[in-house]
Amino acid sequence: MSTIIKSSETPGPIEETIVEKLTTNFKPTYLKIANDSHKHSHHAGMRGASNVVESHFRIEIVSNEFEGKNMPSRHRLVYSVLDDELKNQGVHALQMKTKTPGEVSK
Amino acid sequence: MPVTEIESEAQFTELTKADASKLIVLYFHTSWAQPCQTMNQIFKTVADSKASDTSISFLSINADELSEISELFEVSAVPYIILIRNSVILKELSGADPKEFINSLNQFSSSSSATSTNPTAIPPVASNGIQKTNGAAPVQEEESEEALQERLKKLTTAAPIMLFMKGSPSSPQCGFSRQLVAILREHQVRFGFFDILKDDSVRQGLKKFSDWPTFPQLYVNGEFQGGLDIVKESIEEDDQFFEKALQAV
Repeated sequence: MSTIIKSSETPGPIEETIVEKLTTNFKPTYLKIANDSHKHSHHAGMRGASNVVESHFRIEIVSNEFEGKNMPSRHRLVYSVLDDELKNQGVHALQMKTKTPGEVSK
Repeated sequence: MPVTEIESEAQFTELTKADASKLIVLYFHTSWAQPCQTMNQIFKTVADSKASDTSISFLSINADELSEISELFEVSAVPYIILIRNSVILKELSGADPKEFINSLNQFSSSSSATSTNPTAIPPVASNGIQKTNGAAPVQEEESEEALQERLKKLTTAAPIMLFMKGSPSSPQCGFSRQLVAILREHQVRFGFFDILKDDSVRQGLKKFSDWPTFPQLYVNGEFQGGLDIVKESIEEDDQFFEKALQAV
């Protein structure tokens, strides 16, 4: 059974897509997503950005898909699944904790 | 006056305060940046040629060793030249363009050159390399894909540890970049940095080069290590992460 924790009762459309893509591709036993966009919306790097409400996410994901992969590879896997969000939807940053079920139960 | 190599912050303060009405030329360099080798020569040659002009001071500063001074002036890439008079910054030059340097010098030195400083002695500097491009230094407009790849390769190996960040260590423009700088400093790791906000071709090119969509990005010995999350986790698992990464070639 998998646990999915979203950022709030009313997540935005981008978050919903992210949750859907991650669930489909990683079949995680645990997925938690938090929306940190408000912490960055006034930063210099976000000036002129059209998306300041769903731009920065923090994701914790536990999945067997990460077995045998080092951290850069795991992150790249997530990046490739969320490629559209990063390239076209204005998602600026993804903070990630990627673990396998085995690593979590230690 | 010929070039004075600054040895300490105290000496720097003394020399810059001594005669504020002088035109002071600050030259920031490091031992590991390729264009500095050439620019070192150029700077020296130009300074020597102006030796008789006592209204100009040429100060050479090793940006790594005197990091406080480079941070004070927000020097984000080397070679970097700043012209100052009366505590006012007249001009900043990023990169290694001898012609621009001489033009700026002539522009601001009170003794307008009746005698032309003979620039033909100065060897031409290849404009690809480690310097950033900003408005001041002319760089070929269309950089070919190949040239960009070459430049990225040089940039990622410019120092044993290279941080590609938003802003500079003294003035980060992003919380994640700031945190990664803090981690490096906490572990007393020497690192070179590059401000990707100042060069869009590197900003976009490096994303492909590293196969990584975000910044900051850390490279050790030319090998991509990851962003903030990965470095944080690596350090948590192994306190000697940086030392080990430096040794693994």
